[in-house]
Formats: sequence, C-alpha cells, structure tokens
Amino acid sequence: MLLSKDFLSEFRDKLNFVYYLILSPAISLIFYIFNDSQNPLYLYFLTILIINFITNQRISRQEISSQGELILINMPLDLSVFCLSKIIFTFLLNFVISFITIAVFMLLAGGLFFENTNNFIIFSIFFSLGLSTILTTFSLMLERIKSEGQFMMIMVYPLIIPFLVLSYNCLAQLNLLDFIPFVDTFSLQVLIAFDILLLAVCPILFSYSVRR
Amino acid sequence: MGVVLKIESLKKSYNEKLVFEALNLEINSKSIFWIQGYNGSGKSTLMKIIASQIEDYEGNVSYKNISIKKIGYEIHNEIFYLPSLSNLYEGLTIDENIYFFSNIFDSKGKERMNELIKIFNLNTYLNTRISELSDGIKKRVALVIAFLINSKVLLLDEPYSYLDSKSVNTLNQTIGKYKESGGTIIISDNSLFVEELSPDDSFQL
Repeated sequence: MLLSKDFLSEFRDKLNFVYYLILSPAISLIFYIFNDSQNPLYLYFLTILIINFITNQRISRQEISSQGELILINMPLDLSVFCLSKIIFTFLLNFVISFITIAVFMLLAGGLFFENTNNFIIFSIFFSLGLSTILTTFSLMLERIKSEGQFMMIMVYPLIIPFLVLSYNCLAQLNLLDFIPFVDTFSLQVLIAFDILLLAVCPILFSYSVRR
Repeated sequence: MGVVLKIESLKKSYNEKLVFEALNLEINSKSIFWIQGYNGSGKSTLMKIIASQIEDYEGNVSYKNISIKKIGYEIHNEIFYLPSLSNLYEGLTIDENIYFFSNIFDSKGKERMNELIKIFNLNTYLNTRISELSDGIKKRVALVIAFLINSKVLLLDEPYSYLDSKSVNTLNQTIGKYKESGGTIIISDNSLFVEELSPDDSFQL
C-alpha cells in the first residue's frame, strides 16, 4: 500500500520522468568533463552519491503536507515501517537511475568502465542500499524537524563517514579481484554487515525522533 | 455517558514561552465539546496533544482511563485528528487519497464511503489530483476521510475554514449523526457555526 502510493505519486507526472532522465546525464557529464581523474569508476560512484542526495530530498518532501507536518504522523502505523517502505522505494528508484548513469558513463568512456561485472553489480547493490537507508532516514527527519534540525545533520556523520570509507575500500579492490575473492574481502563483508545494521537501526531512530 | 478523555494538570511550553498550565478537562463520550480561544492561545496545541501528535508536555492525558502515552500508534484508530489545513497527498487524486487512508485506518466500508462522497458533493472531482483543487474542496475531502474512519473521538481543528454555506450545513448534519452513533467530537473553532450544533460543553483557552 505504502509503496504503491509512492510509485503512483512519483510517476504519474510525465515531468518527473523527464527530470530523472535529465538529472543523471547532467550530473554525470559535469563530473566527467570537469574532473581530471583517470578512473571513471570513482567518478561513477561519486555521481551516484550526488544523485542519491538529490532524489532522497525530493522524495522525502512528498510526505510533508502544506502545513509542514508529516502526513503519516496521525496514522495507526508504526513509523519505522513507513521509513522502511520509503527506503525500499528510494533504493529501487536510485537503482533504476543508476542504469541511466551507467549508460551515460559508457558513452563518455567509450565502453565498459569496469572490468568485473559481477563485482560491480554486487558492490552497486550494497552501496545503493546503504546510501538509500541513511539519506532517506535523515532527509525524512529533517523535513519533519525543520528549524530545530540544523544540528541533526551532525548525527548523520557517524553513520555516513564509516559507510563511505568502507565503500571506498571496496571500490579500490573492485577491478583487482575475481568475484569470489572480492566477496571474501573484509571491506565488502563489513559493508554488508553495516547495511544490515543501518536497515535495522535507521527506521527505529526515525520513529523515535519524530515522535519526540 | 461516561468520561472518555481526561486531562490533568496539563502544561505545555514552546521555547520557554508558556502556552498553558494547570489545565484540567473532562470530556464525556457521545458529546460535542467546543474549545474556544483567541489566536495563539494554544487550541491547536491542545488538540495535537490529545491526538498524541505532541508528546513533549507535563501532566496526564488519558483515554478511557489509560494514559495516551502508553497506548502507542494504535490510538490513531480511536482518536482521529483533522488539522485546519488538509493533510492529503497532493500527487494523488481524491479517489486515491480516500482509498489510501481508508486502507490504512480501520474504516467503515465502501457503502459509507460512497455515501459521504455524495453528501459532500465530490462525485465530479474524484479523478482530479489534490494539487489541482481549491482549498474548499480539499477540506471536503479531508472531512470525508475523517467521518469514514471508525474513530471513537474526532478532533476537528477549525473545520469550517474554507467551506461554503452549503458545506457548513452538510458538516453540521454529519457531526450530529456522528454524535448519535456514539462518537465524541471535539471542535476547536471561533466561528459561530459551532453554536448551531448546541455543544454539550465548552472550554475557553
């Protein structure tokens, strides 16, 4: 019910499709052209990070009424379930956008910019999942808390910095190892464990902070 | 007719500014209770506290002798709060909003839904997105949802705002029927339309 409401709200408007079709190539182009890095793989994930920030903020605003209140606050619904449904929605949306971004990068790089497809896929999934979890939770909290939330962003650092460090370490090994050794790496396993922890903690944190 | 809501020694402040203190109220079941007060006196704050939307206060609010802080989110099936500005999804149509909310809450069924849509004259707008509607029609949609839910207590915050005279009459008739069916209504409004309902009790903030 919650997911179908989100898909209906977001994709009824044809302009939203156009928005996502333009957003990904535009940011990809900016990063690719204005960055001297020789490694398009890092540029790709930096692009995905920025796109996630933008889409999560946009998606969270849909849940705020004209009064500035969270629409679902009056509902007989565990807010952690609502948060989880939002995380799943943004993850699916960002996953689809990532395909557009891959296509743009392949066009700019003149071909595949990663060597091991399986490694790329598995890393993309866990990177997007963790990112969606953190950003969705905090953007929803910020929309709700508004002027009292200027210090809220500080709380996101203890989560997002370790996540980004872990992701960077995984990325460094993505093109160097075969699939099974890559899955066996400490960095990837900790990243997966961190994602599971985030999925468990963030919805509860959201529910507690909004009610308070 | 017993006491359904009891407020004891309620105190609420925002940033050291006192809104109210030592507030004591008893609201009976199957009644219409009118909360009046000048702008900024705390009417909406009181409504939100009763609706469990605000938990940061001193004192005790109990529903059927149980503190509402102990009941949890299930309280929203018993006590429904309708704010002055409608809380609807702008990207969905009237039909979709009503369907969504009627599935989230414990609600009265399709027959009552169709009846309320007809009473509030929304048939011609069902497939229109909320963002494209006037505030008056949005208010009517919100009222349909409010009366569709199987709540025992209905909190209406400035329900007459944006409504035309025909809709005001419709609302008052619906409130009357809601009371007859055993519900309790708490209205926070300064307009004289509330007097037509002959409220059972009132309170001035």
